[in-house]
Amino acid sequence: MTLETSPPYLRRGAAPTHPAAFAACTDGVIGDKTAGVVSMALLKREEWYDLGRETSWTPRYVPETDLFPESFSGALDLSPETWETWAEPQRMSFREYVEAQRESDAGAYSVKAAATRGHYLDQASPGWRSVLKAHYGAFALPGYQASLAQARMARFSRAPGHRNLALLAMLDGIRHGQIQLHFAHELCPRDRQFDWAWKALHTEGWGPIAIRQLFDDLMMTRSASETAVMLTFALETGFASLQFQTLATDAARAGDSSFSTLISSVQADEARHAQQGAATLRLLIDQGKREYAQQMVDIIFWRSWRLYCLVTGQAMDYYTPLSNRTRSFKEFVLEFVVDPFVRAVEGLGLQKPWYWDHFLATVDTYQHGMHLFVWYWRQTLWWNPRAGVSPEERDWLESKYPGWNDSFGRCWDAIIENGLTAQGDKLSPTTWPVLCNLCGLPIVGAAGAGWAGGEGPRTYSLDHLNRRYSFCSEECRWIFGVDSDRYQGHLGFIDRLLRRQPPPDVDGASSAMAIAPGEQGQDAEGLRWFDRYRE
Amino acid sequence: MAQIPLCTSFEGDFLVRLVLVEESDTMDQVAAKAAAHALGRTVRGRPGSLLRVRLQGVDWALERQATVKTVGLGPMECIEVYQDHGDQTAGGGHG
Repeated sequence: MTLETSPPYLRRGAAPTHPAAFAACTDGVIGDKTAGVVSMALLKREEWYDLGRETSWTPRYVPETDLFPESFSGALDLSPETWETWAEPQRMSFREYVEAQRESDAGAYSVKAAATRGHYLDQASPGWRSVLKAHYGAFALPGYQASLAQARMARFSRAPGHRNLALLAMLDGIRHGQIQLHFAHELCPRDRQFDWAWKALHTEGWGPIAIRQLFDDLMMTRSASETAVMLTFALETGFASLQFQTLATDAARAGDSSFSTLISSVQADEARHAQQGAATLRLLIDQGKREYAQQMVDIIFWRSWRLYCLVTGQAMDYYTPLSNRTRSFKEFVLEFVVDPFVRAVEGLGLQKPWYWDHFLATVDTYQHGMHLFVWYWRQTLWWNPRAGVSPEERDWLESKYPGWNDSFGRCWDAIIENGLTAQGDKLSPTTWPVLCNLCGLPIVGAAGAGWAGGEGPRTYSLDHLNRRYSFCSEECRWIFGVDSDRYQGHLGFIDRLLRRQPPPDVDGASSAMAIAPGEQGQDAEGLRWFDRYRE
Repeated sequence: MAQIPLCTSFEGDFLVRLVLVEESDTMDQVAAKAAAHALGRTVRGRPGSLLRVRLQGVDWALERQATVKTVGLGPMECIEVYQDHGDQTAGGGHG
């Protein structure tokens, strides 16, 4: 259907024509005198931006509800005029965007070209190589996926300013997907695990299923207003921006100028995207939708936190060589996640999530359980986990996480004992962990002396529609209950295994995960770190 | 007969494991199956201790000769397996 608008394409409530709007549409230069056309001076952005961005038409042949379906727009019964008050704190024209991004990309690609010639990867520590592989596999494709989420907001948001910002962010998403895949592709000839930058999320492994489910939930199946809050405020403000900031710093310290430049470029864009969520939240709260806004923030903060622990937690506390560590994951989270997030939500008039105290408690434990799981089940991954538990590193862990040796350290004691007595068959698993039916990650908790305490590994069950669901936490069970229609049909990795009789063991399931020998994760140091305990 | 998957937390371990059991398995057999995946791998054994099974969140052990069927354990039921030194029932189950 062709949408016809009131000639001459009336903006809602605007005069029929306006030279400034025309100038904006034509980049400010119409022609030159020699061609018989009058030149026009380039207007300053502030002289046309408000007018140029407010592209809200008055449709004549279809109702607004067809033009902006609620499931896509998420207008929440607020009028178009109300949504037009949506205000972005930072403004950018398409011209400015292109100029800045062209420069940013040119810098990143030229540094990459120089770094490739220098064969940086050959000298990189095993832990750092694993950080790169884990990052690319988990985030390269979601970077592109984000462009689809931004495209939906650019088309369906009821706020004109939001549509403008989302359009630029959509272009970011395309660039982020391309540049990360390109960088990883260059490394494939040196190490085939880098191929998983593209391959990972096309497979049926436990990790890819969990990552896909998260990003499908928050980016691909939400309305424009929900996506603005969940993707750009909670995920990008709270975690993604920091994931990239952390990695950029770590990359620089590790001497990886290529990755550092790439990731700095992406991080700057993520910070800009975050404006969409804050502006949307401000409008929703002003319009009496505080409870709804709070619920969205609570849901996605917890979901983001779980994934963040998987990818970033072990990188900071275990993969990074001791000499390169500036702070623990916990210290980083408290300084760069907790403080800014609390300031942001309270500044908007929201509360901290209802599970805040428990969240703070898990900052001491969750990443350690996830790291043990990842190392022990390394054959199911596309990177080589580094154990990171030499005597000196254990001292560091104990200093940063008092009680670590009595908790997770005891599991490592058993592993080290087997490593020293050459019981190699006991250094890999014989069954699967139970994976959470919401986040898709294993149900881990404090080990050793902490096992019987409040943070020990415990399943939170729910019987729903003749099916038993198992969750890793009260929070994941709560999120499921908030919108069970959304989640109840999803089959996680363990559900898929159990549909086969008999269920395959760990080795048997590897074929379903498409991990070929040579791609399967191995100990990053070839188990040579056990030698430190022979001394 | 289809095997029954249980969510099993072994004392001292860091995660909940999937353990497949038979309806006819006694609690001693269930404990042994759970131990095969954790004990001596990521959890050190305590000499002279006996393995006992209890439901998650309950502080008393299930009868050692009771079977999965008689206890009524269904798919994805949550149990804890602990090392009972001197056949004493250990407290401290996850509440």
